[in-house]
Amino acid sequence: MGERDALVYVGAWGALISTAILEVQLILLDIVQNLTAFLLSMAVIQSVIIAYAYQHLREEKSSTAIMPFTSFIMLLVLVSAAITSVLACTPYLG
Amino acid sequence: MATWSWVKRWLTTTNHKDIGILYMVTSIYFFLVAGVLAMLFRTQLAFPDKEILVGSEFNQAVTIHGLLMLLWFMSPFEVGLANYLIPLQIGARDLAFPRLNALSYWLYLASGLVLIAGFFVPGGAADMGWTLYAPQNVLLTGDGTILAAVAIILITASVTVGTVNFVVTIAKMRAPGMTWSKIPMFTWGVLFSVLMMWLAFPPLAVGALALILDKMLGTTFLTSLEGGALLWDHLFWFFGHPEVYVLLLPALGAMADIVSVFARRQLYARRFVIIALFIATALSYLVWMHHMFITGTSLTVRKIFSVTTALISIPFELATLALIMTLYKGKVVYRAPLLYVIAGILFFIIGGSTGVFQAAIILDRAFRGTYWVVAHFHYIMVGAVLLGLLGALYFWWPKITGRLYNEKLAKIQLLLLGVGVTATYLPQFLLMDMPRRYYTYPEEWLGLNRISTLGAFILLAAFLLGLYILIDSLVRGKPAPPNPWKAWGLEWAVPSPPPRHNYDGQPVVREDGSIVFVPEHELERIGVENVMKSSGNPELAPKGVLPNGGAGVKHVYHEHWSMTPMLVGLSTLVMGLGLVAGKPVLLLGLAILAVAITKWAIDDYRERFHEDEPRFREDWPFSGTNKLRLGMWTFISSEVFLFGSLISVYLFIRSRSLAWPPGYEHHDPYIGLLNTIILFTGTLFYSLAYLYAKHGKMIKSAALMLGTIVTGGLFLGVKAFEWWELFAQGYGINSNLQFQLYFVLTGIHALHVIAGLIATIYMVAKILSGRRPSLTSILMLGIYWGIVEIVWTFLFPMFYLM
Amino acid sequence: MAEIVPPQEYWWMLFNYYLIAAVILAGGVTMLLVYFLLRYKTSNEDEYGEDYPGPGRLPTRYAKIGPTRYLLVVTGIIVLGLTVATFPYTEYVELTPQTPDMTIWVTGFTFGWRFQYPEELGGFTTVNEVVVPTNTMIEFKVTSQDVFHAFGIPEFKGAKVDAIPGIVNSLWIVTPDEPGEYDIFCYELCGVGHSLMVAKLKVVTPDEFQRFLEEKAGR
Ligand code: HEM
Ligand SMILES: [Cu+2]
Ligand SMILES: [Cu+2]
Repeated sequence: MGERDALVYVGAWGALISTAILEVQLILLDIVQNLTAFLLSMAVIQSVIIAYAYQHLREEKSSTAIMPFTSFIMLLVLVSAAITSVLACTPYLG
Repeated sequence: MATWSWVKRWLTTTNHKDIGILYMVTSIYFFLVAGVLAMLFRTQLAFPDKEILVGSEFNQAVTIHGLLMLLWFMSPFEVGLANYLIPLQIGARDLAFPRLNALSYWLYLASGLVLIAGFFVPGGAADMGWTLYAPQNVLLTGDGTILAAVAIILITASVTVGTVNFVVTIAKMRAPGMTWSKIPMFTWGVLFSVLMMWLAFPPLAVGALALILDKMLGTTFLTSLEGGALLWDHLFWFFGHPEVYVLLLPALGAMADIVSVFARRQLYARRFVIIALFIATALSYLVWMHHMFITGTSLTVRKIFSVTTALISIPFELATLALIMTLYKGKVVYRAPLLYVIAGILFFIIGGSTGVFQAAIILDRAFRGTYWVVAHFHYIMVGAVLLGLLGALYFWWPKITGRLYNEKLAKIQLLLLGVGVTATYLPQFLLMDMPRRYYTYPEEWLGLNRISTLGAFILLAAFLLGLYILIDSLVRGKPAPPNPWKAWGLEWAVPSPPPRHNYDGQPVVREDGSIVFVPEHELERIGVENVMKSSGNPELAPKGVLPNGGAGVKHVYHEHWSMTPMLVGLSTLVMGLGLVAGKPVLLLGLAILAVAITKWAIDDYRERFHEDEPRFREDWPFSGTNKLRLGMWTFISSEVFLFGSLISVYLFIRSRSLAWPPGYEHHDPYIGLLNTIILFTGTLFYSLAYLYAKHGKMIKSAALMLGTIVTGGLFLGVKAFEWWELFAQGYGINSNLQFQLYFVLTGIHALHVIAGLIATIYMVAKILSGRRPSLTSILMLGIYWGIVEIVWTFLFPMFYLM
Repeated sequence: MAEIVPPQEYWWMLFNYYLIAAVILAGGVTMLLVYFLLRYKTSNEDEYGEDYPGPGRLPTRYAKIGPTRYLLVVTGIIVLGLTVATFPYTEYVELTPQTPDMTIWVTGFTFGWRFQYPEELGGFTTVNEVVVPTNTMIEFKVTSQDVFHAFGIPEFKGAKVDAIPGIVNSLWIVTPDEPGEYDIFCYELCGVGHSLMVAKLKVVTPDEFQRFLEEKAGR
């Protein structure tokens, strides 16, 4: 049973490293269309891997796991509302 | 010597009742300070042609008045009440983490003192209003604003720790049979309140940090056009709106319980009220832009916020109607606490209705920045929340002090308060053209302002009378019986004041709602389930509301205390002042902090601090989870929000910037990638260390942790190299915004790495010296490392790739 | 000149609707509260209502929600309905309905207001006083050169926007038929001189306005 856990950890490590390398290569080759969206979603994927594998969120009961999830959702709200409101106002820089 | 032990008791206590009292006494002190400030500026406003308190002094008075009243009086007073009452109400012997509870208190005290110290520094205290609007908070203020920002960060730390404590306590420390449906509304209110503090404060702390950096290190987050006013507005109001409900909900909960007791009815539609308050809690995060209706942001977005604001009034309508309907067919006895609550409801109706006016964008265009808004929120905060809390104080006072008080005087005080609130704030609705925070104004508004000032003095008289009532009760009051009001609730089944250990035997709430206190061994013998079902069983009949709860045994209580929380609080006080007073003071503060942390580690190493773990509890749906892990996740979520707010600062500034060269022009992406891999590897080591520890192989575990320490050190080394290169090229923390963000965000991240390293080194030392840290504590550090890494997965692309 | 409804007329109309709704609803609820208080008063401490848990006990069942839910639905609809019903008026006020007769730039500074007249009228600036002709639709484009201010003319209800560095917000008014003088205040705390940030809006007859322009041009 210890092996299975070890496998999860090492597997997660492999996934993290390869996504990181992939990300850098794709950017430097300049073939990504929507930079911000791409990078943010990569970061979210990596975070989920870390949370599940290394932070053992997978072992937590859902009543505990709801705490970080709520926080994540609220964060999306804060960011998206602030950004939309800003993009839509009439800037007159300078 | 008796005095010394008395002092020592209060400095080192970790008992929830002691800390509750400390909280309440301290908050009343801040209330008095804020009240004096209010009297000063109301006096000026009665004589607008005189110069009693003008210019910056006037602005300091209104600013500190607002900050103190909201953050250092009202909310902490509620926390104090909650501290005292919630364990009693849910049948716990203390909060889940007594030492952290003390830490919350000392951080709170330190933060308040730092704020007030502003009056004694060059330039005076913060003077840009309690909302501290940017960019004037940076450009036009003195050192007091730095202290205010420090105070905000400290109180954020305090409430974050407090939130973790209350969430875990309410989730996991309830007595058997104390199901969610049975816990009193006050406890519910506090739960919702801390759930709002939980995510509302991190953005505020980030704003305060930006303010400190701008003022001290020359960054331009709040002064540049890209960040500036709107950035502050979002960060502040994302906090600011939930904060007003943070104040409201515990008071509303207490009001509901009090009405129920004196109407001799169960709270009307109790379940719906709870659901409604939960909805309001969630919605409270979605209305903040109604404070920004005239900043010129997108009309569509504002319309959405207008609707959410109107929506949020509906749960409160339900709550108000429920309070009123509870009286229906009741047997209403007119005792003082009830009358306070009734007055509170009346004022709440007015305050709430005017809020609905402001929810309409077009109407709010006229109200924004005027005395109408001042009247709106004072009707709620003074009229409803403060009167409700006074009702709560008068309700629980006999329980807390064991003394009765002069109820007739309390009723006279209420009369004064009612007249005072109306005289002070009703004219302010009529002053709906008058700008806030003007110390002089046109003649036409003189009359209304004078009435308002008169009202303020009536309020002053009422509060002085209140102090007299309380002191009189302490000195001369008759001893209070356990349950002077014939109230329902577990706290009324124990003596007044409750013994240090709260009750003898384990309280069990039976299915018929009666409470029995059963010795633990008995409980084991009979079985919790059987006791809960035993309503008809005479052997287990409640032996009445007696001292010792009728359990027939004396509970052996292990006193716990600790000096470290006080030391940590002291160190933050000294460091905070040091930011303004200069390096020596700052270093002194750091030294105290180091002592405190060392002492904490030694205490932990020697396992000196014990808290009673309940053997029997009701904790659905959290059964089977560990309280430390639930606490850790609650804490980590607020960390997520802290970093999330920082990241949103980045996105905000970036989306408003005209030019933003890709990060790899300044930061080598391959070095960044290398550091990413190093960090990932460190966490892998740590996880494997946890795996070994799980299988009892402690030495191998320690070895892998050493691996984490090495990789963490490497990470910092690479980081230092990068920074050094940038400095050599002439970049610094006050270069353009792109670099400011880079240095600040990666700097804070590096600090988190350092903290993780210190904890890991301690863990290794503990293992190597032959002690075995608990598996949970190893896991918790792993969760912490995880968040450090998660943050980096965002920072890396943000600065190196885009 | 412009035949257009001044924003403050709509403002007052909506305010009055709100006031009526609030007085009826809040008043009704208050009366209910007072009635219950008087009706169910007792001085016997030991009398309990039917579902009272009893001293030192805990509630066992949730109390039901009765017909109050209908009241709740009705008030909810009123509150939401009122809010949504204001939106067309909000749009009217915010999205300037037609080309204004005159556009004046307003810049807040510590501590005062600077007004810049349009090029075709001479493009001159005034400080803390803005003179405009009667019965004219005027647009103010508001910004700030230093810190956060808010520009508001209380007599013209709803004529208020924030003055923020780097952002231009606009508002419009229709000046009345009669000459008059109106106060302009700053509605956001901006520093020691905040209370002194008072300007005057002077509405004058077209003739007088012409004279004012000539005087400015002559300088
Ligand atoms: C019925 C629910 C409520 C609604 C619809 C409501 C709505 C509003 C709106 C739209 C504003 C912004 C006004 C402006 O600045 O132009 C406001 C301001 C405010 N409200 Fe409320 N409110 C409600 C309840 C409360 C409660 C319960 C509290 C406090 C416990 C509160 C405290 C405040 C404060 C402190 C401000 C002003 C902040 C400032 O500008 O300094 N409100 N409210
Ligand atoms: Cu709000
Ligand atoms: Cu101002």
